[in-house]
Amino acid sequence: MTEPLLEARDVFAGYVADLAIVRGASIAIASGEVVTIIGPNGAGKSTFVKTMAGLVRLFSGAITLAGRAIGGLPPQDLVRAGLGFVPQTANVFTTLTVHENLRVGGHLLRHGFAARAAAIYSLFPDLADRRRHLGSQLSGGQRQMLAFARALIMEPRVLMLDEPSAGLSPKMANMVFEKARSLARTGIAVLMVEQNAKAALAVSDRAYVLVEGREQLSGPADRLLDDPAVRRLYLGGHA
Amino acid sequence: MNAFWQHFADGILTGAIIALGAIGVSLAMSILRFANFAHAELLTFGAYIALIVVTMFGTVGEPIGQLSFGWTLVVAIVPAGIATALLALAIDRVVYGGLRRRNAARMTLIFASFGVGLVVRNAIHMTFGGDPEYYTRELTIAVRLFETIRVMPDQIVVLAVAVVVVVALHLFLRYSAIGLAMRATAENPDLSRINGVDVDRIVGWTWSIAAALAAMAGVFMGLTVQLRPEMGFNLLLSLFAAAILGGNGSLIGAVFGGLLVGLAENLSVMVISAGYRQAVPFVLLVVVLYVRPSGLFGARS
Repeated sequence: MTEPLLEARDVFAGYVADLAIVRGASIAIASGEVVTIIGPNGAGKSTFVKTMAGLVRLFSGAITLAGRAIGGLPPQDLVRAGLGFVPQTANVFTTLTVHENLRVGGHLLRHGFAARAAAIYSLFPDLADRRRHLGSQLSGGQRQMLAFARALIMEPRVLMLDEPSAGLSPKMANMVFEKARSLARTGIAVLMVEQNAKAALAVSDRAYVLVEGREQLSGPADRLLDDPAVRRLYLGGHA
Repeated sequence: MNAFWQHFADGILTGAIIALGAIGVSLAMSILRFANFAHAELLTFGAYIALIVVTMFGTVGEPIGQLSFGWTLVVAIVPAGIATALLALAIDRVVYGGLRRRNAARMTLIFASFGVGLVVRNAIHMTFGGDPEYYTRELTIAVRLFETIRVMPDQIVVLAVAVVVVVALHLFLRYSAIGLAMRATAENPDLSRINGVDVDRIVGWTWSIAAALAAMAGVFMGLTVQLRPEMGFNLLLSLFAAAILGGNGSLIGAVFGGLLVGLAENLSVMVISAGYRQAVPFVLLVVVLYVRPSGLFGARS
């Protein structure tokens, strides 16, 4: 791995004081990489990315973006710093139109929203046709694309996706993973949390296995795909 | 039939004032996520601040046309709105903000708002006394509309200004960046945060707008009825009935709810004693909530 863009070291975090869900987790991701965090239910994967997005309290540890300490900063400062986050559920504003969703995504922009929106619509032509539709009128896949698009309007350096394939058909899930892969080709660091480990690892460069709030295994995604323990525990295969 | 149209017109005029107050209640319920029972006191506070300004000038100004008031009262609405917004922001910082940071239950916030309302109401009572006050004692002559309806010129102006304010607020919420962020925050505060919205700032905007509208409603009520320390409190149930009837967070709903409550209160006196008029909106409320729990314009869950 080249110089890490986003790095978290010995992170302890949680919703309630003295009750850490993330217990000493560490990860690093470089520009243009797709990195996936897998693990059993309740391992703290979502809490970990939410901590990096500023939604969950960081008790201790360090989080840096391009060498700058960002741990504990409010979400709006993290967005400004170049961090994009797409939550697993309720990730579009259903009462706002597609275009208004993008406007909320560009809330911090002082200039240039129109140009960026045009670029986003060319990247997601399906959304361009539905720009006046309410979020509630979109299908699951379209909502996921809108959530991506909204996060991309700020041109983030790191895009974090929490269970991006949840609730989608296999075909749509593959499309989402391919989109993540193509975004990484533009230089964005894509960090995913996924239950659909097999499909996610197939498009990832590296992966971490998080268990009980800290990483137990890490390495190249293809190696983890072949790891007997990972196969047995998370990929539905046999050791 | 003449009496019906007279009560209908009175209902629309009362409803316009209720609507201005109900918008604030509705905004607070959707964005701040609790029922602020101290909101009614903001009406009273705003009305009395305008009275202070008018008293400082010694007059409401030379009456404009057939109106009972002059430009002084018009100008007084600005400091009344600003002072009421500052009071609301101070209350949020001292009381509600602290409770939110401690993740207090919604019921705790609601009970705190009862306490805040009590404090503000009694502070006004101690400062101004319990006697009714008036911006002006200038007599005005009612004008006839459609031969059968008599309304005071002040009431027509109040209705016109209320309409302009509601339209302006609608445009603000629909097209401005802050308005969009307010709508986004009302739906999902966390999703708004990760899109760069400073939710604390949006809370500040919400309080300011809600309080300024309450102050305006208070001044209008003081102008068309009278000022009393209980004027807001007496309107409290109507405000909530209007906001809930309209649907949580819906501007159009709050306006429609306000008009409906105003009409129900005024038309009911044709068939029941005026003493029971305040109960009428609640009958309406129960019926609407039974049929459509999210209110008339609220999103169906």
